[in-house]
Amino acid sequence: MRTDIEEFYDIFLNSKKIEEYIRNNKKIIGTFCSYIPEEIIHAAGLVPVRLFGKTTNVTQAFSYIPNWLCYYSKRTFEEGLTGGYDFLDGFVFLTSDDTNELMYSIWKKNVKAEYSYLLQFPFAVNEISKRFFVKILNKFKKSLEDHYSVDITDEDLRNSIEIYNRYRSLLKELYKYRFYIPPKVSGSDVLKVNLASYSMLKEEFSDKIERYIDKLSNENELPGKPRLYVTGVPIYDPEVFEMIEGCGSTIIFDDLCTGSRNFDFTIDETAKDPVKAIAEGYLASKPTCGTCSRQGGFAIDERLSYINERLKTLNPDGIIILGDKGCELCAFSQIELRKELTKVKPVLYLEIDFPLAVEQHKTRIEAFIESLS
Amino acid sequence: MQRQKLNLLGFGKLFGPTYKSHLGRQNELLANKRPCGWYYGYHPAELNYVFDIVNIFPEQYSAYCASRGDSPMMIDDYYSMGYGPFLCDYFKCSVGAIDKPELATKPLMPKPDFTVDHHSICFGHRDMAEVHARMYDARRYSLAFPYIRKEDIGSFDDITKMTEWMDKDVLEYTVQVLKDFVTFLEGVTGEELDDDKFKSVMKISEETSKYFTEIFKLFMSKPTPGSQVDLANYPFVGFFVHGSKYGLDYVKNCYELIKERVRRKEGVVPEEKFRLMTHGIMPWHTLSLYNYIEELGATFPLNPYAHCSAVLHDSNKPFESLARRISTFCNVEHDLMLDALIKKAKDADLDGAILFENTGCRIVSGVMRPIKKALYEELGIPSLIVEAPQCDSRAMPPERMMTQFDAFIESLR
Repeated sequence: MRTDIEEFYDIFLNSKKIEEYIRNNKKIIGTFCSYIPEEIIHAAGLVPVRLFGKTTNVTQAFSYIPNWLCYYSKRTFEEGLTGGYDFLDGFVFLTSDDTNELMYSIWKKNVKAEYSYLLQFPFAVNEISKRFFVKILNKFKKSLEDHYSVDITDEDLRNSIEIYNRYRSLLKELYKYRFYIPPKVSGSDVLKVNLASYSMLKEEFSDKIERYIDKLSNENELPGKPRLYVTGVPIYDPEVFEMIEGCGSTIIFDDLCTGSRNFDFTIDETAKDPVKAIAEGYLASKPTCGTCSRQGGFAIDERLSYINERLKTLNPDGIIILGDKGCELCAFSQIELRKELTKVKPVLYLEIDFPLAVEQHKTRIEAFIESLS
Repeated sequence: MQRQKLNLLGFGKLFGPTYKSHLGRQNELLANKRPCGWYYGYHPAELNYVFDIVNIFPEQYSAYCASRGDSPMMIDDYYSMGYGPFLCDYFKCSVGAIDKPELATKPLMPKPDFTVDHHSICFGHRDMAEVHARMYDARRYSLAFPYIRKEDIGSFDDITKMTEWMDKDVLEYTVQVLKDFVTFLEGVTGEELDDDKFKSVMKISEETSKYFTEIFKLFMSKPTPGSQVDLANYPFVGFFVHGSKYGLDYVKNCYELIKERVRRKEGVVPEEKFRLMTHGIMPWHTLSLYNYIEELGATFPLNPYAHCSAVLHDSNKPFESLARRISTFCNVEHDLMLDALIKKAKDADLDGAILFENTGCRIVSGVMRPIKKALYEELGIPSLIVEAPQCDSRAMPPERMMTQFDAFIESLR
């Protein structure tokens, strides 16, 4: 099983599949947010990959952006500037927050690619915004068709929706193996699997993960340890989860945008208008990170409701909130999140930045885990 | 360098009676139990005058606290609540004021019945409104305006906000959002939109907007007729009280002053040595910084941050006019913003730029480096970027800034 995990991780870390796609003349499109409907890119015969800057040595980026922005934007941009994404044919951003809007212009000017697109995202969900988002997605579809000289038919879109639904449902299935008491798979291993999914075609990933899940069902449980629920900012460095689990715990669930928030929804495969179904799925069904909420409602309440439902079912021993002082969304909401979740379970808030201050964090995590027993 | 005596336009003196009228209106409405809304950024202010709503602006309040020297205490309280350093100073001050009113500048903001946020200045407004509304258990409305791409408008004017075109879907959607907001206000007040009142408020707004845009154009005259301190109240009038009679009177009086000053070819200093652009939220705690630079003979004919509050209206198309306000430098792709800015920089015949990077403000801080680069590459103009949180002088003490200003101005000679 270790070999399987390392294989998954290798796909992400060393862009193994991307190299293969390029050899086969496939065009690679980078995306920057889990709200970007990759189904449309996929239906155009392109390969959508979600970009995560792996470097922790950010230097050049600060000539273009303030050094206090979120680590995701800094690290990803640094990698873009230093040639790490030379394989990209294009990239797609979404106006999910101030940083993403800003980074689109900065990427367009300084990283450059053959194709670039900015998707406008409506934040308050109601019928008006849903109709607008359908128009936005149709324009995006048209832009891909024009640029890549392809026709994206409804059938293509339905096929891609089906592929993505299967991918989402298999990840949900994989997450269930973390719920066992004790679990059958660690949080850091699942993160490595998740990361592979962002760097390859979903149909290939699904075949691979299906085989892995089959094997997993026959695996022994891991040793019993305090069970933790993790929420917060995007994490794509397994060392963060390894650090937490290495202190004597198992992460049984994470609702990060690199975790369940990415897959915990489905899109109607049978809808007459597949673009409308995609718009509905991403805008109204996908668990929010705080970017959007129902008109008149509060994003934090929607987030809390999602977390509380899972806490009830999974009954973890404690919660770790991972923060990033440069992340606007997280910085505004974390106080309320901490206050409300502390009413339900013991909470530890960790502010993450890279290079990771492992020893400092470990002292706090060990004390937290100690307090749970 | 020899310091020169400043010859201010005196817009500040005119503002006193304007603000008094504004507070008078608020007190009267509060006494009549009219609903109170907290607003963020550049919203359709006119509707407050149509629906007789008490309009409160946490940002303006925070700027006021900073100018009175109270903001550090409120910001310290914000930190004690557990918040981090890289959020907007306006949020820091306002949250501190709500949490510890005893530390906050008086008069305090009245409790909101509802909050209205939007996104055409920044996403932070949305988050700020959410936190404030939850602190008061108030209702909330989000004007989910779209972000503007080059293909949506072609180009726009930095002062009038007139666009080359506007994408039909973007315009239609924005108008729908505004109409839905009217429905929200009808629910809050229990009153239907009074079409006649709407028309008359929009007429006032149209007239106000004409004076506004003319004043900014005149500001670019040679020599620069006024000080940035003269413009310090413009964001308040432009953002928040557009559509009020007292707002109109204020800009009308300002227009008369500047028109006369330009006619006489009189400048803010006797001998203008350098013409600079300034950009970024003003350091409200030490507005005298502008005077410090101006006294050295370096004037500011151009301030795109202040321009943000200007827009040209057509009262015959009220909803469309309100919708077009989304084309500000904060809400457009950089290509668009830079094109608009370079045009104005050429018109203003600049020698340099002093750009304030407001820590925690992603929108303003994020545009400074691209602007610096574009000014240099396209016009050969040097810029100085200064880190300057708008309400907290501790992060960049004015004395340190002055040293940088001295060196920069010296380098322009």
